[in-house]
Amino acid sequence: MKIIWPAMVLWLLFTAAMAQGAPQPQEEGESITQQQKRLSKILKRPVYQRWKLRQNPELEAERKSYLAHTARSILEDIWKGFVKFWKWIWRQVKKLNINLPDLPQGPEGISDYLRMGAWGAFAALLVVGGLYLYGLRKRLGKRIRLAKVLSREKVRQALEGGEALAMDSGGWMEEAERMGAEGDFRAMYRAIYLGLLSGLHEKEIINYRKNRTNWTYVNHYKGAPEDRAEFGDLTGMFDQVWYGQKTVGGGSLEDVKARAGSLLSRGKVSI
Amino acid sequence: MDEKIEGNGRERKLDEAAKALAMVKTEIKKAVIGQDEALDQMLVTLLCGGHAIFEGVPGTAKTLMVRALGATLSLDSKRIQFTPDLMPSDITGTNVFNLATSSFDLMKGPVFTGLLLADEINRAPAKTQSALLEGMSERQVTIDGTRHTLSPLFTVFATQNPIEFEGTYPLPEAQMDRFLMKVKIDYPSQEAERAIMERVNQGRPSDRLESLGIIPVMNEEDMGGAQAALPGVRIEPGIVTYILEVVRATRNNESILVGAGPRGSIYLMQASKARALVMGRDFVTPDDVVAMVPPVLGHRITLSTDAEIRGSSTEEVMGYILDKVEVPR
Repeated sequence: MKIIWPAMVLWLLFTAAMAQGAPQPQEEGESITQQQKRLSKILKRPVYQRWKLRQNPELEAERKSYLAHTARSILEDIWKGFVKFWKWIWRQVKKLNINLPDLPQGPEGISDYLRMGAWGAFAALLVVGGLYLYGLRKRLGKRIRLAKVLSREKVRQALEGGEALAMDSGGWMEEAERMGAEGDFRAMYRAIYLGLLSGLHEKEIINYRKNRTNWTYVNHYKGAPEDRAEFGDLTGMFDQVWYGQKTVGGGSLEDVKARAGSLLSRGKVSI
Repeated sequence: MDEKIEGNGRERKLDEAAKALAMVKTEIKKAVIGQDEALDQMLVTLLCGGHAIFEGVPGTAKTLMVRALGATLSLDSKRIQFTPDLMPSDITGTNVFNLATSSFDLMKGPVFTGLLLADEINRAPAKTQSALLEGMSERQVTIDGTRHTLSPLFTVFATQNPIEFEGTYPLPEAQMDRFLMKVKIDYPSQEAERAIMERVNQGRPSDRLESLGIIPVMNEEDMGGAQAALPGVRIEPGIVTYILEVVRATRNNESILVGAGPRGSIYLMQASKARALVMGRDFVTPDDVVAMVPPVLGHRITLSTDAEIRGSSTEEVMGYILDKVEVPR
């Protein structure tokens, strides 16, 4: 009887670890077409979600307290994961179809089972908690960044201050679209360039700091030489448009946007 | 419509000035190898109508640069070696009695020139230095109570030996402030030094300018035109704020005892605009400001005793300040 306890704990630990990587069972009769899957992926994209949330003025107040919003969504995720995990455990137990020994008679036997159950639950909680903390560390930074992006006030501040890292490159490109639609092509180019800086920093091709000049990034570019030349070209154009107040048309900016996107899509090349 | 014509005129003038300055640089580089940054700073000084103080070890082409600059601009260039016994009249000139005409004739001193290289300015006493400083600030000198106007392009390039200070009269802070910039001239790179040696080996030493084929590409009038075009160089309000923040940061830094004054802000803005023109642009970028901060502000600040004991240099402190101020973009 005493050998069963550690075996149970080990089994719980093993099943909990497997649960994280195991494919989630589908509901009976559920059939998802490829098209629906693609649509589902698109709808889950942060870019789409940000756009959708910005269209909804009711969510604006919620976005302002983004930390509370972030904390609540994390707790909801933890609870959902916990419920999913125990459902899965229960299904596995049912599948095993184990002939459980007869419960010992009398109050002593019941307390043994209760103690065993409590230890099992505790071990499972520890495992689930550990795994979530690990995942949380990665996701938290991203969520806070996302929440920052969602705030209109933060977007306004980022635009005024020209702080490239206030938004990710996707966010800047969306702002560029909006400015292009408003006919402010100079501001559109600026948003594209700030998005480029933000994206290159995220890829560790440049080390962005707000007290460095644009040509410092060009001179210390860690990518391929031809990419560096392209970045230098885009920087020179930004200088002309932003500092030199040269007029630009919307058509040429679409080309610039494509060039910036192409530069961002290329990976880091060690030289 | 008028504004557009005015705008086109501005662009044309700036374009002409930028092209002429690029030609000047090309000509001077025939004589001076490996001192591109110092050369740009000299042109900035000329464009702003200021004066510069050179700091560098002997033999780093200081005199040659001034001579080559004079040759390309069709300007006279003279050199004075400052010594402890140099008198003000040795610089400005003096009236000499002419027995034949029974009248006093003015014997003009070396200050009546376009470009003047004042070698080791801190070797002469304060009285002699101030005679030169009057010419620098007012572009005129007083000889025996009579005022004489100097060339409108009169520019002083003074040198100070950074190693030997014994028996010298260091320029006071107020007089240092009159120099637009302090040009630091470093040793040339290995490749540049090799090129200099090869040229001497080919029998074309740098001190014989005519053998290097330098031709005058601008004259006094052209340079005056370039100076007049300078206000047309565009500077974004964000960059003006950046200049202000950098200068004001020198006043609130614990490593600095005395920060740069308002003249520092004005000169930094002017120098940034001139650098933009020298680089062939009609607008200022933050890189122009960053490049001009050490030469324009370096000699306007006094380091605190603590910073000096720590062994900090003005360049390090200026770098630290630039690291703290946000670049506008």
